[in-house]
Amino acid sequence: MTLLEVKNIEKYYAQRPFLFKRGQEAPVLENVTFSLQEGECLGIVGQSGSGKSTLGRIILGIERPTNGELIFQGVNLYEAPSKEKKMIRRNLQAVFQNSYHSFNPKQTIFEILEEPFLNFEHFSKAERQQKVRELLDCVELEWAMAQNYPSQLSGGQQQRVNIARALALKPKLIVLDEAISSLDMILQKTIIELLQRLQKELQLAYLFISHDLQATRFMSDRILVMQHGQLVEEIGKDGTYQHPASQALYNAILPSHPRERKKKDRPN
Amino acid sequence: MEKVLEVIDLTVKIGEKNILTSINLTAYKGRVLGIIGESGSGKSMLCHAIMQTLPSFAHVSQGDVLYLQENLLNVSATKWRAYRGRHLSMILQNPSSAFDHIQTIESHFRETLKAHFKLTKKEMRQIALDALKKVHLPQPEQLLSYYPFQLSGGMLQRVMIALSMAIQASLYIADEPTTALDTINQKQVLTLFNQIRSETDATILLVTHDLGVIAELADDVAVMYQGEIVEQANVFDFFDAPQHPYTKKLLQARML
Repeated sequence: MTLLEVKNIEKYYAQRPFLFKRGQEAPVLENVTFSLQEGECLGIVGQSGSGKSTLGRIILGIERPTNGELIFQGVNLYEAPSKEKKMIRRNLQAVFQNSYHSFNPKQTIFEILEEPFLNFEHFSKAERQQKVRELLDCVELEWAMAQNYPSQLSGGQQQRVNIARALALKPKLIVLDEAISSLDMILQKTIIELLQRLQKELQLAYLFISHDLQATRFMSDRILVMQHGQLVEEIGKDGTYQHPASQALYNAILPSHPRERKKKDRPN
Repeated sequence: MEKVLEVIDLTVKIGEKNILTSINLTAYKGRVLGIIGESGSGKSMLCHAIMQTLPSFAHVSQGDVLYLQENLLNVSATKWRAYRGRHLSMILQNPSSAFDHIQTIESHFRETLKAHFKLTKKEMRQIALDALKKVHLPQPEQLLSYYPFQLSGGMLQRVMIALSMAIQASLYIADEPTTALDTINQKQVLTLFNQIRSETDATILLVTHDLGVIAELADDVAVMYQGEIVEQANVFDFFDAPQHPYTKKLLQARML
């Protein structure tokens, strides 16, 4: 079943007017259309500045598109009454790249994970404690960690807490915007394994936004390539592609063994 | 093979605690020595210990750092100024914080060149243009008048490398040079390092946490783990026959 439909989304940022000169409008997204099925992981890859994150922000409702429609679970997110929107939005969560800046540094891990329940549910204190315990368990963290502050956790642990918070309200879709890009390789691997396990167990859909084609290939069922604010092609299941933007991303994948170094890059 | 940099039994302490323990490393002329390790393993501290830019709370408690047979730890501050930047050049992870955002790219080149050579403005401009062309940046004439905040991270990292090329450094210490860049820019910067190495026979100390970067560029590899070098090998042996448990774990984490 279709979970999310993105229809002809456009976004322009107005440039600042100067004296008598009117500000021009710079296109960031142009005519972006795609849909995402329930339980699917859709990858979006592109270079820095290609508009991937803006697209993620529009889907999350952090920014409004200039034109276009966004239909999530059959509801138009930018036209529905706000009460309905709020109930729908809880099914739509996010994990960002900078794990530390996604927290209030003055809240403990317990307070961070309790917050979604305070906002959306009417649980007693004991129930909330039980829920937080389950969430920590889900992302393989110790209950004892709940008393710590984010600054006391390592980058990998922080990212696990971010995932736990995103899971709190049992969402249908999580937008992962460069969620593993700032972690080292061993951590990337463990977080990917965690995300894949959770996806299966909870029938989650992911929108996996990244500049790293290799990680995206590893994670995603389908991959869309973005360039200059436009979706330029979908990379096929068999890894076939035509567009130069996809070619550039493929060429940038580093070898996994020194034997695979490309001859053309090495003059001698 | 000519030894360019030799680190012998180097120990660095913060208070009484060892941050680096008896590090031994050798970097050869025209070769890339990759140093790989997880966050907090002491990779950056090692770079700072070699460049003598350790933070004030850390100190070298024993060992030597030899650059072309000269012990850098005994060199006077005045002489260090001539070395740093002229012979040993450091390239950092975050290019935008390595620049002064109220100076143009051209004045960065002037400042660097003036510190080491007597040149006219015209000559300096020519050297800067040549260096920017070598790192494949488009429209170098225009670029010189730009300010760092007008350039992207990938472009700035290439300008940083161009600055080191302009003074013909012979040893590059690159501390996570591509970690902040996207994959396409990462590939360009690594290709550039390879080009520098083959054109100028420079030595590169490449610090990273990414095995792909090692597989792409390194000739020799040293693995750092909790402040020690736990394994050192030729890059092929490193990938084919890893020894230390941490190295094995690292190789298993590769995505295929």
